[in-house]
Amino acid sequence: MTEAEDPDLADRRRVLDGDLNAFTGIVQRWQGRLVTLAWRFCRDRALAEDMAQDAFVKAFRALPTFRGDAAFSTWLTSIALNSYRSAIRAHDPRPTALTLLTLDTGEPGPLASLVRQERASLVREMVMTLPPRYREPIVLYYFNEQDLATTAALLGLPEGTVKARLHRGREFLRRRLAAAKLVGDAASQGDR
Amino acid sequence: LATPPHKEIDKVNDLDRVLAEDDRLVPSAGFTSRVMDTVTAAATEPPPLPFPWGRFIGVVLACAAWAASGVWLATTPTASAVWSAFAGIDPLPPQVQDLGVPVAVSAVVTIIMVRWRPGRAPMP
Repeated sequence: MTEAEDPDLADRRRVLDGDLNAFTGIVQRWQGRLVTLAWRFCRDRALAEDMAQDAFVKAFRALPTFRGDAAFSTWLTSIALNSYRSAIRAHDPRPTALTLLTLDTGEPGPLASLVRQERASLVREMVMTLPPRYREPIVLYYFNEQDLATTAALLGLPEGTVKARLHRGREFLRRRLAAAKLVGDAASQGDR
Repeated sequence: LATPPHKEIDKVNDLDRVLAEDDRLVPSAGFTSRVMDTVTAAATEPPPLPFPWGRFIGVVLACAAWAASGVWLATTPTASAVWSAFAGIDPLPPQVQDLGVPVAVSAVVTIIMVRWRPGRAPMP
C-alpha cells in the first residue's frame, strides 16, 4: 500500500518531513487499540493509558525505522507489546480477588446478568496471573479476534508454538479457575 | 440466598467466549493531547550523545601499550640490561627528590585548570 492510500504511511511521511502534528492522526486512529491492549494486560485504566502513552512515544521515536516489511498496525502493536512487557514487569500482577458471587441467579434478570458479568470479569483478571509465556499468547489471540497468524507475528514465534502455548495457557487457566470454583469440570468440554 | 457453585458458572465457563467478549476500552478525553504533549517534548529533546568510540579506543590502545611495555620490561634480557644501567646511576640529591611530589601535584592542578574552568561548558 502506498503513502497516498494508507493514512498511517502518509502521516509517517509528514512527521519525518517535520510536521509533528501529523502524528496526531496516528494517535487518533490507534489510541483505542493500544489502550485496550494495555488494559487487557493490567486491568487498570490509568495504568493502561500511561502504558499506551509511552508506547506512542516509543513509536514516534522509532518512526524512521519503519520500513514497511510488516503492516503498520503490526509494527505499532509490536512496539506497544515490548513497551508493555517492561511496564508489566515493573508492576506485579495484582492478586485476583476471587470474591465469588454466590447469589442464586436461577431466574433470568438484571441480577443474573450482573453476576455473569462479574464472573466473566474475574475470569479475565485471572489471565493476568498466568506466566508471561502463556499470558501473552492468550491476551493477543483474543485481542486479535482469534487470529493465530497475527498473534504469531506479533510474538515473533511460529504458529505451532503459539498454538501449543494457547492450549497450555488455557489448561493453566482452567485448572486455576476450577480450584477457585469459578469453572466446573464441564469447562474443559468447550475448548477448541 | 443459596450457593450454587456450578449452576450459574457453567453458563459463563466457556473460556473462549468469555475471553473473546472482553471489553474494548475507550481512552479518556484529552488522551490524544496528553500523548501529543509528551511527543512534542520528546521531539524537542536534544539527541542522546553518541558514545565516544574514538576516545574509548585511544584509551584502550594506550592501556594495551602500557601493559605490553610493562611485560617487556619485566621479561626481556635487553630490558634487564637497561635496568642494570639505571641501577648504576647515582640517586638524585635529597633536595631534588623532595621537589618531586610538589612538582607532580602542580602539574596535575595546572592540567585540570587548563582543561576545566567553572562556567565553561563541560569537556566534549
